[in-house]
Amino acid sequence: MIKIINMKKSYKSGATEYPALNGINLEINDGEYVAIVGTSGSGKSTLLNIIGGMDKATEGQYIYDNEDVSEMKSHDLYLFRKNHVSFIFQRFALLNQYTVYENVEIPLLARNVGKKERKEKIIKTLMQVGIQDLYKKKPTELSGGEQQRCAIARALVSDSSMVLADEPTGSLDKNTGIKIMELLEELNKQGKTLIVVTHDMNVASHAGRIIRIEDGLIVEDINSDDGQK
Amino acid sequence: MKLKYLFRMSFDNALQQKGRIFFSVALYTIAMVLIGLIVLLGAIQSQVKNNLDKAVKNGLDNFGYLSYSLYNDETEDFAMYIGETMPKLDCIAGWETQWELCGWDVTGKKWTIQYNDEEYISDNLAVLTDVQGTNCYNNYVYEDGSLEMMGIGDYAWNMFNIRLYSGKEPEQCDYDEDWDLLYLGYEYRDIMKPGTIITDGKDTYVVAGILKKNTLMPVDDYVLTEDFSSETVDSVYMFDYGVLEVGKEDETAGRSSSCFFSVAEGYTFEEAESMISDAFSNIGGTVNVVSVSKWLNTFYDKENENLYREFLIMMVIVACLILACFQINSILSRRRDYGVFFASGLSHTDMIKMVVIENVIKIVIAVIIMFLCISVVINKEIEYDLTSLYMLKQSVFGKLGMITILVCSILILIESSIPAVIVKRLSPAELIGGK
Repeated sequence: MIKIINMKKSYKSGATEYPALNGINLEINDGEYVAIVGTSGSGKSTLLNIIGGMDKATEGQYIYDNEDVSEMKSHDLYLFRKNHVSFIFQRFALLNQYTVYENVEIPLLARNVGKKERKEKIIKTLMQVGIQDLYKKKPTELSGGEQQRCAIARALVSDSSMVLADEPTGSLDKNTGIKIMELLEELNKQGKTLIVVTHDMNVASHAGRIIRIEDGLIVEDINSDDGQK
Repeated sequence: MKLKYLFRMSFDNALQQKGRIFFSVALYTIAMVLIGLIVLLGAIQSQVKNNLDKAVKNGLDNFGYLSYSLYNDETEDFAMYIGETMPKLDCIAGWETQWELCGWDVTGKKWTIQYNDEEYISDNLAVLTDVQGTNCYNNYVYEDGSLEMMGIGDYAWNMFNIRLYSGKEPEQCDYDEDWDLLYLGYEYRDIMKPGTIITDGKDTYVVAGILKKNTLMPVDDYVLTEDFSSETVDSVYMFDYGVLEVGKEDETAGRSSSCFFSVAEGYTFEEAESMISDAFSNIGGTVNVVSVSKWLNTFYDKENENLYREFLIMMVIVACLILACFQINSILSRRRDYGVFFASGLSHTDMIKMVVIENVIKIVIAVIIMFLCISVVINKEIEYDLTSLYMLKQSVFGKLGMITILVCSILILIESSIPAVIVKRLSPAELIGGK
C-alpha cells in the first residue's frame, strides 16, 4: 500500500525555487489501477517519479508497505526500485545499442537471474506483448507501438508489484495507444498496482481511479466505480 | 549486478558510440605513446649508468677507477702492497687485467670434465662452448673451440652484484686450496652442476656455482673509460653465457696500469682517493683516481633528466584534463541511458563499475598500442648490440610497466570519478530527462 502524507517537492535553479508538489496526500491500495491526470507542469510526473523512487521529495512522508521511502538513502532507494517498481516511459526509453531481447534482459541482469531462467522469462514476456518475432531487432528498427511493447515487456519481465507508466501512449497513434492500454489493463488484472500518468482523458478512463493534479495539489480524486471520493 | 554482465553492457555501450570511443581511445593512445617515448628517451640517457649501478654491489658512489704509472718497475708487488696498505678499499685490481685482453681471456685448454674423481663426462670443452656459441663478449665463435672466460680475484667478488642460482660463494668454498673456482652463467645450469671438477692435466678447477639469470658484470675498465660513448657503450655484460674464473688472491696480482676498485664500508670515496694518492707518492708514481659515478655524470645532463620527469608529469596532467573534459561530455550525452539503467534496477555502484570498465577497455587498447609503438621504435630505430638492447628493453619496459600502472590508475580514477559524481548528484528522474 502506498501512503503519501503532505508531500512537497521543489526544484532549485540558482536562487529561485520552483514548487512542483505543494502538499500531496494520497493513499493507493495494492492492485489498484490509478490514472494521474493534469496539465503539463502540474506535477504529475514528479509525483510518479517520487512514488517510483526515482526522485526524492523535499518534504513530507512516503510510506510503502510500512517502509518509509522518504527517509531512504540512495542505496535503499535502489533496492526499493529493484524489488517493487517497474517503469514505462513516454518515449519508451529503450537503449538503442541493445536488441529487443537485450533491452528486456536488463532488469533480469540487474537481479542476477541465471541465463536459462532469463531466457524463459524474456520469451514468455515477449510473447505476452506480441513481439516475440522481433527479439533480434534493435529499437530503431521498430515502430512506435512495437517500441512501447518492448518497453512494457521490460517492465513486466521483472515481475514487480507496481508498474508506473508515464504517458505510455503519448508517442503513439490512437489505435496503437488503445492496444497498449489494453495490455496495461491486463497487467492490472494480474494483480499489479498500476499507476498511469497522462493528460489524455481517454487513456485515464481505463483506470479504476482518476486523480487530477493542478499546481502540485490534488484537486479531484474519482473512483470510477463509487463516484467522487 | 554480476561483473560479467556489467562488462558485456559496458562493451556494448562503448560500441554504441564508435566515433566518440575512437576519439577517446585515440586521446588515451596519444597520451600513452608520448609518455612511453619520454620514458624511452630518459632510459637511453641513463642506461649506461643504471646498468652499471645494477652490476656493482655497493652502488656506483663507492665504485672507482684508477690508472697509474710507476717510476720504477715494481708492478708485480703493487697489488699486494696496495692491498696491505689500503684498508679503505675492499679490493683493488678487481679484474685480472692484461692490457691486450681487455679483461677477457680465452681458454683452449683440453679440459677433462668430471663429476667426481672417477666419473668422466667429457674430455673437451665442447659441452660448454656449444652453449656459449656466439653469445659471448666478443660475439663470435672461436675457431679453435676455445671458451671465452673472464677472471677476477676472489677478493674482488664483493665488488660486484653477483647472485648465485646454485652453489657457494668463494669464501664459503672448502675445496682444495690449489683449485680455482669457476662460476657458470645461468644457461649452463642443466649442463654442469656445482661440484664438477675440471682438469687440464696441470691446473684443476671446480664449478663452484651457477649464476642467477641476468647477472651483470661491468665491462672492463678500458672499454668503459677509453671507448666511452654515452649512447653506444656496453657498460655491462650479461653473464648468462659467461664463464667466470675466480682465482686465488696471490695468483691474480694486478699487472695492469688501470683497474676498478671499491671503497670499503664506512669510508668515503674522498678518503680512499686521498689514501691512494699518498700511497703512490710513497712508492714513486702518479695515479689518477676517478669516481665512476661522478665521471659518468659528466656525460649526462642532470637537467635533461629533470626535464624529462617534468615533461612526463605535465603530459599526465594535460592528458587527465583533456580526457576529463571529454569524459564529462560523453557521460552527459548518455545520461538518459544511465537513467534507464537506474529505472531497470541497477545501482549507483553498478554505474560506477560500468564507467570504470569502459575506461579500462579504452586504456588497455591505448597501452597495447603504446607498447607496440615503443617496441617498434626500440627494434627498428635504435642500433645497439644485443646486450645493450636487451638491457634497454628491460629498463624501458620495467619503468614503463610501473609508470603505466601509475598513470593508468590516475587516469581511470579521474575519468571514472567525474562521471560517478555527476551521476550521483542527479536523481534517476533527472538523468532520464525530467527536471
